[in-house]
Amino acid sequence: MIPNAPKNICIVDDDDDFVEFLGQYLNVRDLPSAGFATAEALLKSKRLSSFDFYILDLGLPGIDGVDLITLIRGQTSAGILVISGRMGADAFNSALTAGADMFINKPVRFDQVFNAIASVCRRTALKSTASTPWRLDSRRSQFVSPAGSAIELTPVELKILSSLCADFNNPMSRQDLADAAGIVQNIDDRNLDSAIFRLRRKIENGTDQPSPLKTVHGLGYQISEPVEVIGNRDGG
Amino acid sequence: MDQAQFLSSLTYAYVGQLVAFTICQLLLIRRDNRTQVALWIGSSTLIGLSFVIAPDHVPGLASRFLAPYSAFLALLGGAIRYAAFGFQTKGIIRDRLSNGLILLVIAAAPLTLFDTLSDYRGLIVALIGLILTLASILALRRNRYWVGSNQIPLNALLLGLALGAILLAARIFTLHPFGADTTFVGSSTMQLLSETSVVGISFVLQLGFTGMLFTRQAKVLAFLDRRNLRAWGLTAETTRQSQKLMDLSEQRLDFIQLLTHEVRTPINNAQASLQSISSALEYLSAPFKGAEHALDRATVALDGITLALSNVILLGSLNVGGQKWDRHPADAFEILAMAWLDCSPSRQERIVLTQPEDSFFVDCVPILLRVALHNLLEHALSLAKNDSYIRASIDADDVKLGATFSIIFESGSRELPTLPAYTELNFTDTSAPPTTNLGLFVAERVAAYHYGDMSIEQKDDNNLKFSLFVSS
Repeated sequence: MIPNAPKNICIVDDDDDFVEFLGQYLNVRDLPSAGFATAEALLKSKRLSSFDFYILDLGLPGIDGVDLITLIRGQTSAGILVISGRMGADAFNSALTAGADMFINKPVRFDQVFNAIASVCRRTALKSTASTPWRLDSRRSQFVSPAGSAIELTPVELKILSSLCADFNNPMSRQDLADAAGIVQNIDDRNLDSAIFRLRRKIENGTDQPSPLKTVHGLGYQISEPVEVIGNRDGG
Repeated sequence: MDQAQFLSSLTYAYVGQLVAFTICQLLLIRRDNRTQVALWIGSSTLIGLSFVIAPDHVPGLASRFLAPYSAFLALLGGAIRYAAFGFQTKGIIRDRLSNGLILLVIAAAPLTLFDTLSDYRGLIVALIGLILTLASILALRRNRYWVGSNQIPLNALLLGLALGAILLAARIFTLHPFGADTTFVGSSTMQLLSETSVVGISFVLQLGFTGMLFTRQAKVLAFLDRRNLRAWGLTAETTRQSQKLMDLSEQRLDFIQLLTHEVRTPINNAQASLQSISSALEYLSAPFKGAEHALDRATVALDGITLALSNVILLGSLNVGGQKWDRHPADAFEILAMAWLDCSPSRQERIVLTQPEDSFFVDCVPILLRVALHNLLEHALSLAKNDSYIRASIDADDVKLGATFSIIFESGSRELPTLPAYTELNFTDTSAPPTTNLGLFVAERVAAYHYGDMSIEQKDDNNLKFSLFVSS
């Protein structure tokens, strides 16, 4: 059973057989759905924003799947799962950039679709309960997830996060970050990487969400999501 | 104007001309002509100095001590000018006749310094000057450095030298013992006439040399322009060819994608149909159960085809330059579960997944990782003992700092499967594609794309372990 299971799934795919088989499969699992062969058919139905989950193909006749994702994302924050026969980087990147939550390739077994729906629902549920961005509370040495889970930070971890949050838009070099956090780099420069790795694991374990700490290969590290900094120790 | 005034005016005019041309020549100096220019300016300086210190040329400066050196300095300057004419890119030309003449000049020039020969100084200067001029004509004619230049300034130089030679030859018959003058320069009518001629000839020589420098520089610049133009053309052509190759690669990939999309869609529907039939068979009576085996084999066959197609597209995508996949944080276990579900239902039962206690997210391209893990699971299934289990798990690697997907199974063979030796798929129409262990190759490439690696190891006597590490 999927927690926060969608009650009305929209399937848009020009492959009628796939829509029919998938619809049958989802109905058996108490996930009602409606199928559309084109994006235009969905738009004509005037039900674009009335669904709470979307399963879309990319290679649609007429309005393309990526454009449809953009249209849907403009109206609703419901989960969007892309199931496409395309397997190129362009299709993958453009779908996720447009706002899709997950991209899986055809051929798929319906059990995989079911798992993907469950996964997207779990993530969107975490997002929907979140009223704030990530928060870094310097006074309490805590990092708080949008869902409210608090992670206790060591002094070094606090320094790492404070330094990265100070310049949200730009990656920070490993040397600068190590200097700011007071980490003495060893010969192979792994002390900082180890500290970041442990911090990430700590955040993921404590929040059940991906950490906003991002590795920018060849440059350093960056915070990938907005973080509200509270009670800056320097008086901020 | 009296003779003394004329002589000093002539000297000033000569020195002024030397200074003016020297400035022009300095402005034209380049890396490839600096030796010639330096020699020429050096010679001009010595000849100019010889003029200045000659008796009666500059009022008040004439010195009994310096005057005897005037002729010697003039000849020395002439010898250096010969070097300017004869210098190629790496040294003086190797011309026996002209070099022999110049050696003669160098040997004879000190004769002008002997007081005992002072009555013959004019004659000695004229003779040595004539030899020097002839040697200079030869050097100039035989030096390819100058001959390749524009002909007009070269001809002007040759004309100046020829006039100089004629003047010197004619002057021999007017000097002691054939005439009254004992020195080449002086204030007699003949001396003034010959000095005026020398200044005029010098002007022609300076003009010719400066002209040669200018035309040679123009020629070098034109050559560099042509070379740059050719280089630019070659670069542009190379870029065009690279773009064409890139376009061709992308077209091929597009065709492969189109083909596989056309093939994968009906296969996907066939798989869905088989899944429906499989579900329906569960409710049928025993005699129909025999169909399950056939159904399973059909499913496995279709899965094999789709995996092979996925491998081809994936490798094509990774190999075509410019195709960059964006990495996204994804739950590692979700990807492993997706790869597990890619296996045929009958084979899924043999795979035991161990879910990590805590969520583990990796920055990755989930669809690439899914294909890589599916390949590893299929390989494990094909190598494992019949009816044995395959255990798949994810572990945090605190040393390499990332996630390791481990697939452990009891091998039916004691031989380790080898990772493909080829680093690139490189085969022709006449050679068979190396499809053996293609799945392992795909897994290795995907791991590398994620700054990781793939390994196969014998865990103990019976168990093999596939490890796919992706950097966090």
